[in-house]
Amino acid sequence: MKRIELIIVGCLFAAFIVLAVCRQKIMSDVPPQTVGSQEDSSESMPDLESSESEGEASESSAVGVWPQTSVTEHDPENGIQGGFTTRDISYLDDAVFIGDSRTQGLQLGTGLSTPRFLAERGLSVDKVDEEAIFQLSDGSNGTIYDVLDERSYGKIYLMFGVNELGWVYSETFIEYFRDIIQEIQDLQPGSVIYVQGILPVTASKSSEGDVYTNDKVHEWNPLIEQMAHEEGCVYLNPGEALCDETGALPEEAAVDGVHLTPEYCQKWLDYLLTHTAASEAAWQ
Amino acid sequence: MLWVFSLLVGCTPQAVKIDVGNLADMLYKELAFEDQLAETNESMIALLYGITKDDVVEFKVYLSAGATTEEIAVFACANEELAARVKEKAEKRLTAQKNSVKSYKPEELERLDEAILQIEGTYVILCVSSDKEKAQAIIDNAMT
Repeated sequence: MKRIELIIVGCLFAAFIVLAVCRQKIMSDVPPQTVGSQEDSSESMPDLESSESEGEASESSAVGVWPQTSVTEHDPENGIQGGFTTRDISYLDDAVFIGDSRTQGLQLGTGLSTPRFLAERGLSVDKVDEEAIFQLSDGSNGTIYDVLDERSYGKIYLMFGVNELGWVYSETFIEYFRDIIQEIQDLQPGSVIYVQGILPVTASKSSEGDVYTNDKVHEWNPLIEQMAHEEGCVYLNPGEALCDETGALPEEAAVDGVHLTPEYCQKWLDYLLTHTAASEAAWQ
Repeated sequence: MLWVFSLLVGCTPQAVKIDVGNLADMLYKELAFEDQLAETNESMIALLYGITKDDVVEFKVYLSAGATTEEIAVFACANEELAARVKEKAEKRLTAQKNSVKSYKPEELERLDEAILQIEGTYVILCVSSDKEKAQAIIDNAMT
């Protein structure tokens, strides 16, 4: 009897081994799942994949993630809808950049001429509706809003803050910034609005006085981020790609501690191109 | 008679010749600039100076990305009339720069006031640096 039992167990074990080997063979014959390359995603729109979580997918069927490993997790509570993806420079063909001298530097340092730049040294959030210094299509000058009223843009990138760091109340800054966003949303209802956090300064600049301090930058950026999410904008923090482990710009990044060298302007541009809204429809 | 004609031809001042790329590079390498300058392209020159391919036959321009107003621009034009037009546009660029920094970075005004803007035959040279004398010497040496 015992011998029969041993034979049965032996047969079962052998069958198990044979099944395991067959399964392994079948799995190795299945080609690996294709992952879209950056070039693919920038040139043509791949099919949206459903989110990993069924719950998320059912909340918004229009939101998906690009089939790319660089895509950030879908996290609507933190303002990430569909995640970020990488695009090529043509993504910025219908973009407009609005800001102060640092935004102006982005243009000068990278030679970006296709996107429109509405940026000026010293421009601050309280002056946006006053400074009539930008050329309109008829050759006359107008404000940023006048320019935006003339034609539609696909993406609008905003960065303000360094000129306002001396302001006593961060709430006042946020209030003005929010007004700008709302005005732009009225003028450009189909655009994706990217709100960028303030770029930190170098450690030496930060230690010079009480105004341009990185403590203040790091205190204000979460407020900007919160406002961006409340207004349905994409928040970007280019500082995370440019700063050292202390949260300051490296000394070689800005000779005056504030304005980036061409090399760092290029890094900033690279950051923007690797942080584009994966699903633009979710933001329009 | 032929001798007199030959003498007159010999007295005619020869047209200035400048190697545009070489002069811009010499200024870039020999002068001590505070900021890291970057060479810029035709589109940016059109945006910043309003100078297009209709105005110039050759150019080389280096710009600061905003930390300073340092700048090098060397333009070669097809004729003196166009060179005068390009100089006028470069003057407007200088004025715009002055207006832009006067309240924001007034220390840059001194550098802009000391800028070299020179027309030499069909060439226009602009150099905004902190070493006007050295820049001038480099420009003078570049003319053949």
